[in-house]
Amino acid sequence: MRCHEAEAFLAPQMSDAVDGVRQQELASHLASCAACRALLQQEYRLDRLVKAAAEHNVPATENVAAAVRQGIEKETSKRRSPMMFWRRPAFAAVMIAVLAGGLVTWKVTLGNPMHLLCADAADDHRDEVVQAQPRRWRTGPEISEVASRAISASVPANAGGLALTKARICELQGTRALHLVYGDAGKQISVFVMMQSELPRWSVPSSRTRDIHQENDLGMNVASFSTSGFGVVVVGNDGVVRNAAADLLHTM
Amino acid sequence: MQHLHALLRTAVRLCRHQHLAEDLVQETMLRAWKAFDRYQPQTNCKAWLLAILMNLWTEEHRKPRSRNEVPEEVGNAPQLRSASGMADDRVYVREVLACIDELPEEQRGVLLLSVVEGFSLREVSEILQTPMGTVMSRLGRARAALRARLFARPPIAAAAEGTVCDAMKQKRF
Repeated sequence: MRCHEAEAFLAPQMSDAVDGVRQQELASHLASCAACRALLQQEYRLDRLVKAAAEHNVPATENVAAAVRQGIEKETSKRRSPMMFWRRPAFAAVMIAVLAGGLVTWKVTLGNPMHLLCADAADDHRDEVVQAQPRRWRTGPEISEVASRAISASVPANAGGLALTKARICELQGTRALHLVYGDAGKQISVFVMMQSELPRWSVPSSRTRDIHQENDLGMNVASFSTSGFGVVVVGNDGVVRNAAADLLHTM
Repeated sequence: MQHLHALLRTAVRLCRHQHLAEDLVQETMLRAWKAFDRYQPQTNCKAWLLAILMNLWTEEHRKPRSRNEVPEEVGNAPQLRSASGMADDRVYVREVLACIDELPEEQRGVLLLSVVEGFSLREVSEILQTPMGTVMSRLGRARAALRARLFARPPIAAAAEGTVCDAMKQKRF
């Protein structure tokens, strides 16, 4: 061990940072190095000086102790104040009302993941099916291939009495989705199928309850549910949406 | 109130002002009283209190007005003799205090907790919520700064005595 290495560990406080092997090396070095031994002396002296100096000008504890007791008494009497008793239930009632109102608002509007997914699906149906914006759709035998790629499963040929006509892969709420279109120009519904594990939490009802969530998005009927590891959203502008959702819930 | 003196001793050197130190300690004790349900019995109460003090100091007392406060005048400080009693080794308290006060805050905190309050590096690391390596580094730099300012003679001059010092025999290796 060299002097510059030993110097780092001479301070008394450094002993708990030195392992057994290093301690041996340090002891051997000190046995043969007068300069480091003198430095060690300095370290102990430094400790004594710092400890002695630190005691200088320390305020008396009595004043601070009295101030602390006063502060504690003030806190204690504040907590015991009769005025606080009626304020707390009132405050609690206000908070409960605010939270309940917020929860209701959240369930039906912005921020609700279920609503966001339904709204996204409704937008896609409006743009790509109702307004027929150009998209690359797969038809016939290619539908199975697309389904296999998107959700590694086959899809029902019918839903709500409507036949499957085309499919494509898209994204809803950042989740890969298989967009299926059932029906033809007169009556069409979109069915979006996603892997439930990839969906944001609370986006679809629990598969245990087998609930079908329904809402209306600017005149568009939307239903969502989960089954067999899939989250499904059905969109259309007439009453067949509910029947199609119920059909799919049982067949998927 | 058992550790009040230790808290005041640390606070005075951190704040460099007596009234601010008293305020800091008062706030520390009140916060400790409010959070006492979180204190785990059988653990080091002094370390817990100093951790609260250091947190408070970091949160609230590093404000511009604190920096502009004039440091305490040490006044007629007594002379301190070195352990060997050699006249040319005298170091005055005010010099030591001035050196400590001039240290950067992080180094000063580590020095006070380890040297003055006697905590191990591991305990200092837990109190300050700082990695042990950082604590060691800050302590090393603080001590080097104090040595450079306080000890005029280089170590090799003292080594001319040619005997193994007592501290070497006592050092726990």
